[in-house]
Amino acid sequence: MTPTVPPAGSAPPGLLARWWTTWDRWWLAPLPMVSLGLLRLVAFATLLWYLGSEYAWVVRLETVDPWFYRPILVFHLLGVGPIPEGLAAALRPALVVCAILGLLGIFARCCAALCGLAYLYSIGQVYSFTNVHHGDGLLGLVLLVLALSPCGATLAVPTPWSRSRRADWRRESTGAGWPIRFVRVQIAMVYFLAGYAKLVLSGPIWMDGTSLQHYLILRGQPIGYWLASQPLLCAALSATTFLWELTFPLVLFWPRLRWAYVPTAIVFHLVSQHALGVGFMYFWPFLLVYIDPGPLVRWWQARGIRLAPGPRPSVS
Amino acid sequence: MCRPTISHEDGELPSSPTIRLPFLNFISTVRGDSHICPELSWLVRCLGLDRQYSLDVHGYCTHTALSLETSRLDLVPLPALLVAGLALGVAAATPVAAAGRLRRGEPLSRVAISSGLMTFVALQLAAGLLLLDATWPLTGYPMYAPHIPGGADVEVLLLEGTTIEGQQLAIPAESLFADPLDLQARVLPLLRDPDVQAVVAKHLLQSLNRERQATAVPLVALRGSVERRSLTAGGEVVRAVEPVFVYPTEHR
Repeated sequence: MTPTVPPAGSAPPGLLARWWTTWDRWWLAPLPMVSLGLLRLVAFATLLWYLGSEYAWVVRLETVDPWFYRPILVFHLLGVGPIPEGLAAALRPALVVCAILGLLGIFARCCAALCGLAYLYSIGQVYSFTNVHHGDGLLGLVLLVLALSPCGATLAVPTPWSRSRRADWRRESTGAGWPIRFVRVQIAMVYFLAGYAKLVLSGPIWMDGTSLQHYLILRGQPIGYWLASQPLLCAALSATTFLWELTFPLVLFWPRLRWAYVPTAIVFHLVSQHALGVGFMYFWPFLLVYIDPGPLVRWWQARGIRLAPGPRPSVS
Repeated sequence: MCRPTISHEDGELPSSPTIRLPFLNFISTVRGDSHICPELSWLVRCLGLDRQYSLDVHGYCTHTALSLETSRLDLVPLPALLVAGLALGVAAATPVAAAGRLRRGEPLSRVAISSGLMTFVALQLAAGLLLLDATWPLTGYPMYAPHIPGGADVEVLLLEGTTIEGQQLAIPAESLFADPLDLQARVLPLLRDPDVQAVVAKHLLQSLNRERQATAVPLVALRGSVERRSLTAGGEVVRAVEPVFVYPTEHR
């Protein structure tokens, strides 16, 4: 992940120009195209998972009395009302088709744009009837980012009209760098801001475990009741969560830390899902983006070189 | 900024409780019903920056309803407020900087991507530091953050319906929404308010009947109670149920 992008043009050597150069150098440093292909696969697979598991709740909103509708801010600003009858059901097959096409890398950018907008609209409708939750936004943002990047250029099913646009999956590209870093930064900010909120609203006393006990009882999962009756374990889990969330952004600067932080994050979400009934199911798959495919690519290249036939001796 | 209107057969909900907070600064200086347009006052309310206005209890239900208690301006420490302000300033200044970079001949695609990322990161940071939920999909993450002292009761809404045949049915908490706590967060405070209880219960009954339409006989009455759960010193969960409402009241 060495920055290799020089600034374009002849920027004056002012403080602001140096800031933008550093900013661009970090964000636009190239990464292997395979990373972007993997991000596309994760995003569309997660979308299909959402469509299969939770989209039914969007369809069911049509049965909820519009009296419950309290639009989120962006819907307020755009003047969006409750979801029209039949729209959610009509959108579903279109979304499934687009998600499958996107997964295969066919018209991937168009599919990402359509799916991203439709997904954000659906989730916005759910939140306008219920409450704002925090685990669903990332998928919509990732789909929109994919729409702005050459996400269908690799790990895609070949089609006659896209052959010329195919990229070598081992090649490093700026187009792959910034979307991957966007996801990494967004995930790091989510965890950090969750820790920050605990620090601001409660302070270190949050680590005493009583808040966790409260929410475990509120959620009422069988394993949650057992966990709530273990105050020392609750305190230990709370302290670990608090410190882990606040320090998560370190993985952006010391990538080796991801070997500790990312598995912990996955375990954290699985435990939360079973003990608290809080599923960040459309969020945690993106933790896979922290895996660096560089070593795999280098191994593959070395293997390719080893297998390559040497120069043939001349017969003449 | 036109708020979509929703027809309420039974009229609008009553005005929300007013929470007066002690010191008032920049918002109050521009405030005064004649000095501030309704759209701006609404924006201030839904962003939770309000210190003088009646807080809109029934709008913008967030998973962690911080806005019911206090203003973000009182809640967020000064250094974080300053960083959030700086982030908002950066977000506002980025398009200007982008225009300058384009004039200097930098490629459009690079300027667009790096400026877009800068704006996004700045806005996300500001929303997070100010603990905002109304700005979804850029939000703060205050879920489960408030400290709950040990021994505090937990309240869970229980609903029971009566069919036209007189049969009593327990209504699952996830009848209307995927997260069982969503319905509770939205309606329980209203169901406790005698002024709006009947209106809320009526709409709840209508929604449950529409949801059951295809599969079951309709409900004619709804009964709600709250289960209080608490943890004893021995680690045992104790439950106590108390009634909250019956609709229509003749089914009492």
